[in-house]
Amino acid sequence: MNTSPDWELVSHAVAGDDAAFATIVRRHERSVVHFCFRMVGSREDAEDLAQESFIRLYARLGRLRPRAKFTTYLFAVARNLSLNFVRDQRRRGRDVTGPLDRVSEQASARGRPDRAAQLDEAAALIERALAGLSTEHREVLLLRDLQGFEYAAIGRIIRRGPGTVKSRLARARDALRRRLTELGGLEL
Amino acid sequence: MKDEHVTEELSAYLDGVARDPDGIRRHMEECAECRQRHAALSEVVARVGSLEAPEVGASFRAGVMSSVSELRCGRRVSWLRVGFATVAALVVLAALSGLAWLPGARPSGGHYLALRHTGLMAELERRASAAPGYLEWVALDATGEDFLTAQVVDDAEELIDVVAWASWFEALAEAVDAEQELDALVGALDEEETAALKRLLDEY
Repeated sequence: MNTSPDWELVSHAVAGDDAAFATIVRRHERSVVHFCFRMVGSREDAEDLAQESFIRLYARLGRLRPRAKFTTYLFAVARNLSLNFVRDQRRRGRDVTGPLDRVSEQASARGRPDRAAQLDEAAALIERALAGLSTEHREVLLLRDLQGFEYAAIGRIIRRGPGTVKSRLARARDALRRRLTELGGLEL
Repeated sequence: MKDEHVTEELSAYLDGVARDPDGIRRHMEECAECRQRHAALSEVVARVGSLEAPEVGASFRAGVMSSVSELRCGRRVSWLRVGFATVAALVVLAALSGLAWLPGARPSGGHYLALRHTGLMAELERRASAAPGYLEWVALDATGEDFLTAQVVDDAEELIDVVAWASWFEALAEAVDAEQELDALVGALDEEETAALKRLLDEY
């Protein structure tokens, strides 16, 4: 079961096998939480959004068709919920521009101050740079360079053609490059 | 070659999807600026990829499975948030549509939205015949209805596309689901979004 392909687990879950769905969650929980975290800036909110993503997908498991990788569906929902969250926060006057919770804090909590210091410096720069990007740029960067989705899958997730994915990703990377250079974190 | 185009091709080259990878490679052998830009983009990609993921506690999966259990037992409260403003929006929509149905009531087959579906499906078939890949792109949206509410102000036309797609692809029984889905969506929209949706539907 633990090594079964996602769609095989889905068919078991549709048949009522909760353990199969739990395997799916365990397999993808960290990457989904990570994506949501980088989109909305709060670990707590990211976990809520990620949980909701799995739950919503479960509610529709019987209607999904394996036209794409299961993770494409999963991240489409996660992306949608994250965008909604960002929009709602902005409506309330809260600017969600980047990770407020620092991953390095976890390292400190685990008694690794040296690792925490390393993480702090490197992570701070990239996180600040990402925070300065639009959600449109941030999402394609995260989907490609963090999650490793192919262009076609990204297109399905953000509902744009592959040509748009290509150009948007290029602009996002260039925007991040310029931002890192401004922050002094890139000397190339 | 325009600067933006160069960046786009270099970015695609990084991902192994450039149109002319051999040409780019040969060009970079002679162009120091492009080599430097390629190196910078590579560094950017590596840094994003090195972002560390937050830890996920055991309670995360437990929370998901608890909700899954509730769903299977039919106990989970719908995530559809129906508040006063939403009810008001439904009343406004009902008044505009000339129907005398109360907030929360399911629309009948004769509802004007159902009539719109006929026009929407014809429009969808026309678009599908012109661009075979078009339909596949919207197939995933059935799983993320809140996304549709977020999109309705920015691109309301796509909302209609998605609902029509869900209807057409999933056959008649699920066309009913699509109509109900649209009803649920309408229930989740605010007045401005509802008005925008109504204007768009009127165009069909």
